[in-house]
Amino acid sequence: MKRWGRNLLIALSGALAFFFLTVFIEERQVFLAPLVAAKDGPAPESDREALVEAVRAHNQRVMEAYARRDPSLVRATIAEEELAELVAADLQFLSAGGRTLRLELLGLEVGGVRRMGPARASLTVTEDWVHEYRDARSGAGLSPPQRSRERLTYHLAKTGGRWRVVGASARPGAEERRQ
Amino acid sequence: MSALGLSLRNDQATAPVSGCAVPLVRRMACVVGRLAAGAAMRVGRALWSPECSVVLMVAGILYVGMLAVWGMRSPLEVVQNISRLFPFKALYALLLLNLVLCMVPRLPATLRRCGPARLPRDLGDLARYRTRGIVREIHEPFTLKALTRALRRRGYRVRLDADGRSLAAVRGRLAPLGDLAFHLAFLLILVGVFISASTRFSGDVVVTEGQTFWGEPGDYLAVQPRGDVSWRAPRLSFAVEKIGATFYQDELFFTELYAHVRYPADLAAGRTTVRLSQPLWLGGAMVTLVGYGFAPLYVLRGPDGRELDSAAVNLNVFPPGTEDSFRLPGLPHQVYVTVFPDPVLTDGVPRSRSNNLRSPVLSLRVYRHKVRVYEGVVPLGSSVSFDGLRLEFPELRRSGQVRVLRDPGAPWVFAGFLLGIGGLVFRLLWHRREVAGLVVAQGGTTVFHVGAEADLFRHLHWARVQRLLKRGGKGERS
Repeated sequence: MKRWGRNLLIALSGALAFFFLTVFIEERQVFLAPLVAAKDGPAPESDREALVEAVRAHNQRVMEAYARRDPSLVRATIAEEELAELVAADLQFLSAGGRTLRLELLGLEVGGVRRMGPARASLTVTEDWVHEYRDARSGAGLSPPQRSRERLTYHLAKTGGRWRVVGASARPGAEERRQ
Repeated sequence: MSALGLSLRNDQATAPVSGCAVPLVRRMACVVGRLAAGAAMRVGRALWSPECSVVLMVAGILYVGMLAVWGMRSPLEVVQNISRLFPFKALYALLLLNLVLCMVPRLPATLRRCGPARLPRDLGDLARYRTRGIVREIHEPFTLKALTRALRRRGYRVRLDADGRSLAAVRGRLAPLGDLAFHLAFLLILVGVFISASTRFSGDVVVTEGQTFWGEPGDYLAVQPRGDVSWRAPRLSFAVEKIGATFYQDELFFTELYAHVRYPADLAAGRTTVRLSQPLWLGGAMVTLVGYGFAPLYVLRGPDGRELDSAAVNLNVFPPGTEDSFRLPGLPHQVYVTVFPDPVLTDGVPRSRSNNLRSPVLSLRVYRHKVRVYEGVVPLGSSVSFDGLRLEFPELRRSGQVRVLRDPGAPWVFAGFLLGIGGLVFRLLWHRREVAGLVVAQGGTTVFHVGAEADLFRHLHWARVQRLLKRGGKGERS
């Protein structure tokens, strides 16, 4: 009985060791998933700054893309081609109407930052923009500049050691909800 | 061998830098190889033993326990990934192998045990019965014939020898087949699990009233398992005619959720109602309605009023107040929609009193990239204008989330469970009971030696046999 118990113990220890060894060899990410999952949640301050900087850089590129009418300028700050296609579609739409758009970011307030694993994060910001339509040929203003305040959630991914924008979704702001 | 030896020596001689390391590595490889071979042989030998089943079962429980602990910290997907890893597959394979290796050698003995009871020829034959007794005096009305009748009345198959000296009775003769069925059930379940793991397909698709689903793999929103599993998708098609839902006291509790469907979509040979608890079996798959929502139908018109596009968009806008968006095809406009099916204005903000469609309104925000070009609440049937375009919402259709599940391993698993339960019940209720008797003349008197055996409840069985014997003679247990 004692021998049987010892054998059972050895077999089970072997099974455990086999399990962890194989999981570690096959799926290191899965093995480390609980540790990675524990990092979900509010981002540390260093990440926060990097994420805000990535969004600022992206907005800067967007403004330049509209000013120069070159959608490829945003590619440096995005992780997926879809955003560049969106800018290109907008420029084409404006061009078809004989218009251009001047965009200017007046201010950016940072809201919540959330990490989703080591290479994914979302950042909620409130942006103050001024936009003005101009005639594509003469450059004359077609309407007075308009201010808008938008609450956006940016989704970012870390590629090549840098945070880049994957996409953004507009959210109803607090002020709009009160109206 | 000598050539090999010479070759090794030559290697050592021509490799001055790694000359010492190479034999060491080879020796280590040899030792590891021997150890591995020894371990494999031990495992191979152990696989034939029932003790190995216990170890594998406990290892299985341990693995599942570890998964449960993992599940407390990690998302379900991570746990599912781990459960598909090699240790689990190895465990299942070893269990299957062990089961077969333990079953096959025992099969002839099990089948032999299903045979009729053997007539005892002498007292030595009765020695195999673990409960035995002696009826010292046989007198009327107790006779072997009377005992035979009594046993037959109780469902025993009784054999008497020609001169009426020995008797063998058995009840539940085929009970060992229950054991066999129970173990075969494990085999079926394991086979079913293997089939499921390699062929199971689950996909969710959102369909609106009036829409046809042709079963195209690309139309599924989410599929399990992930990756390219289009070959696993069942060939089916159906058209949804109507989707309906009723709620408990206008709260978010479904009292009924149904979809009237026509299938297959091109022939419309059948019509049925699909519910969560009432699936439709189609193309070897189970089609169930698992979710409810709204799909606004939009019409986009250009500056000249010409229709540019129209479609019903499946949005995640249920329960009321949930916002989702869609992009107008070929345009940079993103339309954010919130549906209020039973609207009421509270401080100028729309809310929904219930989930039922009663004069619904849509809260819209339209963005052209960074620029908000429209925001407002519009009743169904009206239109909004922005950037020279006109967007109309003439209709709000109900949509349903349909789950298509095809699992060819499920019938095997189901059959396995049925067989296992059947075998267990058969084994417990109709367990094998034997009674054997031999009349022996001892010292001028006739003594009846009796033995009894039962797979289960042996002492209860013996007590019953004793009661039976007491009616005709004096029984005592030895």
